[in-house]
Amino acid sequence: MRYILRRLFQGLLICFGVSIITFLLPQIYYRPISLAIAANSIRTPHYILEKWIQTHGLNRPIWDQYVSWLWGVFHGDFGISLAKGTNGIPVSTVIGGNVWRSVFLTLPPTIISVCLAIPLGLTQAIKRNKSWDYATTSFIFILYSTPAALLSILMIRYLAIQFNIGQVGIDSFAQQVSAANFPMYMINNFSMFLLPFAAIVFLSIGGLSRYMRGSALDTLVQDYVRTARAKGASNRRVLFRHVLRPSAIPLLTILGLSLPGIFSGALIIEDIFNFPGMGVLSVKSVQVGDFTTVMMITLLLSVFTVLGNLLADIFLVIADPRIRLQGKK
Amino acid sequence: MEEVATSNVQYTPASKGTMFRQMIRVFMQNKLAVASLAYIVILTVACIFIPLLYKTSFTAYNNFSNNSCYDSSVLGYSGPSLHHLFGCSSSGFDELGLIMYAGRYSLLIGYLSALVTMTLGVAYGIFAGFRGGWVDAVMMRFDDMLLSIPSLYLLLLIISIWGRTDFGLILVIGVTGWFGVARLMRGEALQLRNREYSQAVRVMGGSGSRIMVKHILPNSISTMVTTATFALGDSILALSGLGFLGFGLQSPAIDWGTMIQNAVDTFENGSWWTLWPLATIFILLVLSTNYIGDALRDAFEVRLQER
Repeated sequence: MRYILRRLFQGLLICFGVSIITFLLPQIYYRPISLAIAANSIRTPHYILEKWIQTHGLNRPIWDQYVSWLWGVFHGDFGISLAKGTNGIPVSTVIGGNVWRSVFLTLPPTIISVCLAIPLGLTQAIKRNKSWDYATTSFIFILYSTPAALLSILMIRYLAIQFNIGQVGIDSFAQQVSAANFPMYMINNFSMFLLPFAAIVFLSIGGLSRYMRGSALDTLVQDYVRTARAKGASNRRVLFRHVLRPSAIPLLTILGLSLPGIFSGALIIEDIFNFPGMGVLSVKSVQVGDFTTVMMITLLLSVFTVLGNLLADIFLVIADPRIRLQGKK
Repeated sequence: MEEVATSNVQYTPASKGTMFRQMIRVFMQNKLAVASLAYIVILTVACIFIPLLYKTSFTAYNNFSNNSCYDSSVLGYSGPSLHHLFGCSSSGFDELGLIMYAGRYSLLIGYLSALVTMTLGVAYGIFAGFRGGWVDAVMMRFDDMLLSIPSLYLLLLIISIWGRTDFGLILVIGVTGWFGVARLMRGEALQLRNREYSQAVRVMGGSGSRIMVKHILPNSISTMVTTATFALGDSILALSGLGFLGFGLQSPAIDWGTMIQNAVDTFENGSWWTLWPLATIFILLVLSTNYIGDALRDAFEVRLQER
């Protein structure tokens, strides 16, 4: 319990730190006056620019701005977009349901890829250095080395266009579906989401199955596995009871650690399939120089990552008593 | 310290040459890795020299009349032929030449940003691991924070602020890539600082920076080299991701990610040659870095076992 509390505290600290980093990064470069000119126009009279800076509070000390920004974030107010096109619109309106849609896009394939990676890695470890291991390993290596963009384009070309499996992109109507209705929408239009899902599965399965293979190889030579075999347990029982659990549980940690990578890959996949999520939004925001939105999106995703890591750790403690003992030391 | 005194193992100090040769031998036994290394070297050399063989430009758009890429029978750019081995790109350049031309930028940025990544990561990690205590704790929590920000979003955030230039891209990709390296190097330094030789230097009055630079750094070379190959692959991938999203190099410069982006439409309309050669070259490159990294890890492990 103390271990969990300590991890919880660490997680909060990290979230806090990430918020400072994402807040300070733009401040290093931008001066209020250049922001004001960018948001208005070069010909705007100086007193209007001054007023603009005043209303957005950009002339206050940085720590003061940070505290009020953080205060706002806790109250669901993510600040105001400072870019020219969207000036004055709250960032939360700009982001809208995109956060949840992105989560709905990444969560199911991640779970699927874990479910696939466990048996894949396990069979690879059992048939180590046999043809099955070599074949799947090289396949995984190739997938691992393929950029998300190339993979998606090839899938669109050869699956969607040539064989009509899945669809080329997401309907622009998806933008109007509210976050609460989105899971239902995804189920009803599953063929539209088939290829993005598959792309994310392919993207994340490489690292996971490699890790599973390594950890299963470690487990297979443990004494207790040999004991189990010696006492006459069936092959199946040994695998499921003695090998699967200890080697699959650490996978959770790896999953937590690979969350940022999955989010990054999902960004490109969202961009290709025109999925109305955070990836597309942040690309658009960067193009128009709306850094407050990008900042907020980055912060949200980082917090998701930290929470994911935290959940993985807590689950690990519950599932594996050995870690609890280590924590007490 | 007691261990040093009581251990009566005879250490025959292997000279640097033999250790290095041993490692090379193990590495050379791995055919796949040697082939990968050869591929990267050949690709780099080809990227430097092949664009020189072309008399046509890769930066100025040719009009149709004098462009040998234009095929009047299909009212478009021609596919692979003897004259244009890989066909022509969607904007009327020879595909092979353009790939190599873009490869100059992509590889250069890849190598340099991997260098930046390694420098920052190694310095940060070794310092944190060597110092230990609260310095280590603070530095590693900071690293945790950076690690939990998705890298591509971090790249976008930085690019939205700094804009994009060749030099900027190198820095940006390098600066966002070192967090994992630092974590690895810190673990390495934690182990090495308690080795007998480090303790011996400390007893003899050697300063901390001396131990870090002269003893920990050379002894962690195996981890460094392995990480560097993976870092190369990662930075090339990161650059291609940025290029694909439209934040790559600006014309007249071009990188592979931007080329992929440019090829999407023509490729989906059936011009397979606009993407496949590039995709093959690119995937093989990243694959090679992964294979070399794996082989190096094995080679160093064997060396450790034999010692």
